[in-house]
Amino acid sequence: MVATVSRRGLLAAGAGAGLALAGCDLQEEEPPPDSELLAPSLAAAVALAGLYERAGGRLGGELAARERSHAERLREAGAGEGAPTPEAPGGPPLEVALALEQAATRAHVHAAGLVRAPAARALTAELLADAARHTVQLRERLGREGLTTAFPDGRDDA
Amino acid sequence: MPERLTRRAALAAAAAGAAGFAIAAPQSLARGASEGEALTELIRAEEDAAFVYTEAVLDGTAALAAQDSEHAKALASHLEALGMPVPGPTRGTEDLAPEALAVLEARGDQARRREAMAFERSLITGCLQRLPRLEEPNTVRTVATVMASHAQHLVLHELIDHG
Repeated sequence: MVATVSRRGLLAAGAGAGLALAGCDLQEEEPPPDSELLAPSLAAAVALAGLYERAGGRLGGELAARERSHAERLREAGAGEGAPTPEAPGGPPLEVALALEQAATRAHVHAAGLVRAPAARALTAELLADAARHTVQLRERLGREGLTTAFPDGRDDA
Repeated sequence: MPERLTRRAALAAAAAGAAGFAIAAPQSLARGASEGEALTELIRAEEDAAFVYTEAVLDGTAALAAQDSEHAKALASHLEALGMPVPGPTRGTEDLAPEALAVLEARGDQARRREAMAFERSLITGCLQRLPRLEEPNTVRTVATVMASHAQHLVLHELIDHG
């Protein structure tokens, strides 16, 4: 289904205030089912859990547990399996983790606007908040500025 | 940001009652009105946060007031798209929600930091509670990223607090 965008929709699209988001085309199509929308978030959580487990240490252990919990909650919400693992550059584990957290953030933001089930909307927002939190923790470990944007959507500089 | 009953809210409620308007239960509000009301509440909370971080002296939080102002502006754009009036900036402590006022009333760096952490938790909760009342995908995304920003503010406070 292709819907005509209302004046309000156009205004709202312009109100993103720095949010350069996927899925904001002026021609709005019927979004895919929630299971499909949540699948990239699940793939990112699984990839992050594995990475943090391999990294080890106190922070690695803590974040691995958080990501395993994310994956479990996403599966309970009906997230589909088999979405591609997000691409991340090679390099030190913290840098790879930061890139993966940014990819996870983008997946959560995309899903948050489109999922139909209220519980799935709340879940994606909570996972987004957690990914944003992890990003600050990783930046601090890397000796970088913790806050880089007022709208952590995964498109700010890591 | 739980339900607040500030002087501002009490005055608005009194004015509505005096004018003979029935104050509708949230469930019975039209969906657009509910979204607008939710956005209005969120903007007020962000304006409060900008005021608090401008007034409070807290190490390592120089960026927070500006970020909270950016949140308010982004949310205001969505509210304007609904044709609803945008609340102005917070100008004094008398209009602050209790969680916001507690930051300014705390004495000592550590106590103020702890209150700021509690305030950030209330802002996160406030965003989460209002998500079901939003309709436009981009509005949902803006509120979700504002919520994520407050999660970042919270962890920043925690990192400073733990040294």
